Amino acid sequence: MSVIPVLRRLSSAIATRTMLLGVAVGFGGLCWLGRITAGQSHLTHFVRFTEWTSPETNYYPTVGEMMATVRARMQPGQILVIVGGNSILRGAGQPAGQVWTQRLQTELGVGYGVFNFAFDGSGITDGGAVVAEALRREYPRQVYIANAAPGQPPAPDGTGVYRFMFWEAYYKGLLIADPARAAAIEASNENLPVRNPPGEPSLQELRTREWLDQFCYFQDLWNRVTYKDLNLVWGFYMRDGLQFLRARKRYADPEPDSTTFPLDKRYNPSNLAIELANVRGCSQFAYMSFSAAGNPQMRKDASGRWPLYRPFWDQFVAGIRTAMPDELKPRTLVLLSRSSPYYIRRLSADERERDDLTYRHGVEVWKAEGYDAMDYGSDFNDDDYGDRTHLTRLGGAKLARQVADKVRAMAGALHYTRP
Amino acid sequence: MLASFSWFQNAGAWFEPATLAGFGTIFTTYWFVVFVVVVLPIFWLLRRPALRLPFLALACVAYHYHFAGPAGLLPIMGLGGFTYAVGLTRNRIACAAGITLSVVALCFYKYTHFLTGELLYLLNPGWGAAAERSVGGWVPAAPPLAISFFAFEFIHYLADVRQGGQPIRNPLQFVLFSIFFPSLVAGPIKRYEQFLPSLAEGARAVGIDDVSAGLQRVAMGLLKKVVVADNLILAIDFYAPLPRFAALPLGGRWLIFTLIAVRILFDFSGYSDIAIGLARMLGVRLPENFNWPYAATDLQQFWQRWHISLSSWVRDYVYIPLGGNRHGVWRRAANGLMAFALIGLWHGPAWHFVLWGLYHGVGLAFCANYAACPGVGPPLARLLGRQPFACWLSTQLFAWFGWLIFFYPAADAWRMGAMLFNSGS
Repeated sequence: MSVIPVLRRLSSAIATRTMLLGVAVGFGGLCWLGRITAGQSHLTHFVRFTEWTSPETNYYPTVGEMMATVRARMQPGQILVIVGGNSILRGAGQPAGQVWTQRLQTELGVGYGVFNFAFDGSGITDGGAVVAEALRREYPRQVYIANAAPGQPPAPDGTGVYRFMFWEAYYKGLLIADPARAAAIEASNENLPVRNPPGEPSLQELRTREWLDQFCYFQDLWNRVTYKDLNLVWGFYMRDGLQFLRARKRYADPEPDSTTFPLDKRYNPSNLAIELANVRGCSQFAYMSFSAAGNPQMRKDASGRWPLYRPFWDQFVAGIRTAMPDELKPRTLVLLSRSSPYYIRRLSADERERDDLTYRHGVEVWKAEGYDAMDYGSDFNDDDYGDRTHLTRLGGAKLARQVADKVRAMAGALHYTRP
Repeated sequence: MLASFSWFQNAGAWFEPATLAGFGTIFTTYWFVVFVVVVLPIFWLLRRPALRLPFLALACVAYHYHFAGPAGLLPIMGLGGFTYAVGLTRNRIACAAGITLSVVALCFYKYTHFLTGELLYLLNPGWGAAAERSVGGWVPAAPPLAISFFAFEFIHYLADVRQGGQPIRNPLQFVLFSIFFPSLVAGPIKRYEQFLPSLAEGARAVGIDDVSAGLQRVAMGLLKKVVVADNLILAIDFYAPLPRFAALPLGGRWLIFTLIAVRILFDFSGYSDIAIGLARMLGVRLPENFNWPYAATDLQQFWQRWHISLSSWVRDYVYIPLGGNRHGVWRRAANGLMAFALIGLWHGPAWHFVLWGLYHGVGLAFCANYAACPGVGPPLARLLGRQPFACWLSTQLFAWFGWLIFFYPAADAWRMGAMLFNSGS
């Protein structure tokens, strides 16, 4: 038997085994890198998530990187303040450097560490809520702030595209095992189709991804690379040539200053009817009755009061009761965001009364379920809003002052600080 | 990346156009990753073919059930059971009935709405509406998973058995031929005479070399599909719609035009690479589907290199039975047109697919006959014979223009094509 074919076979066998070993070692190495990355803060100079660091441009912030950001910034002895909620609290319309949460930090002072983990379109149980819950033992002196519309029940495992954050934390064992919440999740998912609408992964697929990520940490590694080194996903926000390849850290916060917008851009007359319908919509289910013929009607009762529509509020109460574990409710501040006075003054006197009642009752309901809550906007003016709901930097400053007072009061009540 | 799911909507159009909400994305789902990570090691550890094949069949059923759902399993079970039973008889009439049933099932599930709502409506709107009302309600919203593939494979099987081929007697082998998971949703379209020996060999002696080669192929496929094609889809979907395309400078239009061609090749060949690589990791060698089609220097060559398993299937079971090139120039051209209209229609029930098929059919007929045209034919043939670059360029431009017809409504495709030679809009 010739030696050369034997050597050739041997060499081929070694090469094959080396390749497979390389794949295994490479994969294991990437998982290890991901795990290390998850513990490091790469969001340098973080103020808030922008369009470059949000799902709009295929960047899906992990709970791990948000936790690492908190750990990197928090000073010993500080009370942790995490802001969640939607674009209003993210500070849409407030330019970099004048975001309301920066003002809140100034108002609260060095005794507090404020982090803005709000996202456009996210709800009270999304990103910020998950991070706060995950850090509950490390930072037991914490306040979580988020906003909601009155009567809007939160989804127990998060909203739409942000749902992955809850499931990431869930599979990594960061959340409190809360049977009531688990039952609510199960009930809310019962009616979900196996396949969600086009463009959305099914819940099962999303959960499988997060289940895998607890071992592989691929999301943290991907975010680290795309933020600091090289972005590999094309996006229409970054469409000029190969610009999309630039690391995301190189993009500035693009948020405009909405105080510079002309009034007809902020309160577009052609949208007036739609916006007024939205404003009325906040309260129309809250105070509704039925005529003798069974038709819904917006009418005061015989005693001249707006009648609460019980089924609406009962459903809402059931939703907020299971949205968070009981132990986290007292440190949660729910902000009910009122609409701009530009629209409120265009309502009839009765509608204004009903709108006001809805917010006040909403606050009471949240409080009755163990949360803290406040509404804001009743003393704001047109210039404080960039549109119907979003605040300008001026409105943001007002909000920061009011929230700071509330947070200090909560800190006292929760025995974080001495009276 | 969550966003990837939306990119794949268009990619999915390749494989099951009427069900593009996800079937084209199967290999890039996390469920599939878990499935492969569980199934492959168990297959390797089992060692004995008597254990490996039943396990693989079970895995294929689980895969099909997961992605098709219980309702999606019924058609393939019914059609597969009938095909298997008919094949065993080796009776020519029974086999013909089985072939007819596969064709009818494919037409019913995939083309009913097209036939009633488009074709019949063209002839008589009243008839079309009436047919849509009476038949449309019976047709599921989405055709069963992979029906275009398994129907073609069943037709091939029965046609070959009818011609004297050996039927598959082992039901387990037939199940694996029908729903072998790597090739189920995106091919390559298998031939049972090649597949079964390869399956037996894989079950007997899948080796580390197979695993290694398969893994490399899968990696290459993922690179082509996820890194290149899926990124290109994002950019193309943004720029290619007409108003934006028209706003691009001439160079930008040519760039997008080129990227459309690159994307479809990388998308589909990447998917085929993954399928071929996964099968190889089970020791099974699937037929190749692509062989550098953009290096082809004539259209006939292009079709010998592009989606090879489909074009060879249509050649063997449509073009040659119709008479192929045996009955003169006109008959050959007509046969070619029919075969390519079918190739177009196979991609989806829409006119632009038919038009794309006919476009290639006309192109092939021209290529086969232009040299014989009196006057310009011989000198043109001599000229092109001396200019391989011109041959390549004309072939590729023809094929790439075809992608505009493939992806966009005919009027838009025509305008986009015209804009490549005109800086205006």
